[in-house]
Amino acid sequence: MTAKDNVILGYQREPDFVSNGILKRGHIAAKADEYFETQDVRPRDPSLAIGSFSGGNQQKIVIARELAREPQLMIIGQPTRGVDIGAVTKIHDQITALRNDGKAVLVVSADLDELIAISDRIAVMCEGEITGVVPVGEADEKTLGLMMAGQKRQVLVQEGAD
Amino acid sequence: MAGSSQKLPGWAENILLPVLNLVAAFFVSALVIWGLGEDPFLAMGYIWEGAFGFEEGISYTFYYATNFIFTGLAVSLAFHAGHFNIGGEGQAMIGGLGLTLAVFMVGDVSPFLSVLLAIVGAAVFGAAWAYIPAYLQAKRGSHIVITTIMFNFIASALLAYMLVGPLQRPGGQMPESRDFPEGAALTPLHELLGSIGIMFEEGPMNVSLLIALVCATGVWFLLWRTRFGYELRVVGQNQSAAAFAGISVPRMTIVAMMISGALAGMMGLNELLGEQHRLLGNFTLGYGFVGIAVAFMGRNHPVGIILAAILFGALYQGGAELAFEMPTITRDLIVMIQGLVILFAGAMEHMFRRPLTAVFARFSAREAV
Repeated sequence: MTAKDNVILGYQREPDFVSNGILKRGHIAAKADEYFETQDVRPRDPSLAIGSFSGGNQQKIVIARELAREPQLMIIGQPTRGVDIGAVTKIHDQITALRNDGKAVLVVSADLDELIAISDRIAVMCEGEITGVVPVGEADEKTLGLMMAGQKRQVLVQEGAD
Repeated sequence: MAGSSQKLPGWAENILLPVLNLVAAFFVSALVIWGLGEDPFLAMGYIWEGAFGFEEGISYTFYYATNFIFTGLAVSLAFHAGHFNIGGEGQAMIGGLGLTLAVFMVGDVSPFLSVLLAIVGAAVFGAAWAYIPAYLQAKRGSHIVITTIMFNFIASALLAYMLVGPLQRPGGQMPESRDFPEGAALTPLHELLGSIGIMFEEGPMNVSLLIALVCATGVWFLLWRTRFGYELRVVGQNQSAAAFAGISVPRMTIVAMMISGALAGMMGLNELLGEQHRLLGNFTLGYGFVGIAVAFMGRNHPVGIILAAILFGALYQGGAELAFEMPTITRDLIVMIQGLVILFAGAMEHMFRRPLTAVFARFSAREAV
């Protein structure tokens, strides 16, 4: 599978990419070029095997692919793992832009700096249980760390408080 | 599609590497021939001469190649969907049975209709025979490699039963059916060429070669140009990704295997409708298995499969001529040469890949400096 093949994964039935069962190769190639350009994927060659890109660049392709569909709800796991620092900021900007458009975004991550940088609220889990939900203003590494170790913060679990 | 991060240029990957593997296989074969006390160059000459030196030889080469195109396409289509269909042999047998039933059903009424229904019968019966292992894989998790190979034996027994029972030639002793009705035949290509004024010696090569080429084009189009082929390849690469993308993996497994079975089943067009004009027990002669080698040698691409099929067709035909010209060399040696080709092109493919990749990496590094 090339990167070009990958940019339609999950959307291979949409009329953008297929008509009467035949792939619209021109459209797909144009989309792939567009994604590569906007996310600065390197090397900039969508005809290479998707598996031959670095993890971070694969990540960028996936993010471009999913963002392009303008989803109402987005659940993202580890959006920036393995991505180079420049691209991290860019991905974060895109996620917050989605939030600003009024879309629901759930980011799952083990990177505390990342969570503090982009979240509105952070839910912390320990042993399969949510130990607390804190607004990002009250979250720092120490409180989050304690909650990750199991300390509950019931005080802060006030849904609908705002 | 190569998973490795190290990459060879396209021409080295698709031409240089197979040629190197082939040369190595022929080199080892030459050593064996030399060890038998024969002149290896002379022997290779006989193979070449036998396969391509005269028109009837060419006709036989392409006649065998037709079988290999069908079975090679069958193996490769299933392979793209992530399945190893080694039941091409059995699917071809049952396809042959379906073809025969269709032909006898139509009878003498219309040659055109009987050929058309024969094609449908071969494809449908081959697909049906592949459906059972595919269903068991998709719904019950029985491994397709095990079930398809077992189905070869069942197919063989079923064919034998039909040919000593209901389908046996009346009054005959051999496990074969009576002859097909007069018109139920695919035109030999020499007749076709003759009708447009090109003289070509008589031989078994027939219209099924063209049908095989149409099938190869169809497989290429299906796999790389249609949404169905895209989904098939996604399933073959990564079943979880496929499920994520909304593709039903069990359904794709079944459909891909049925197309594969239909392609294998159509091999009977060449053997039965093109040449034998009756159903024979074990007419498949291992072509279904050689299809595996053809698919690998051809890198699972229809163009490669056609080329590999011609190579194996040439080995079959040239090998027969060689066994005839050099009495010390038996047919077994030809099987050995084919085995070496499979060994070097398939199993030991990486033997040359790594050094070759290193050489190319060094060259490109030098250019970069």
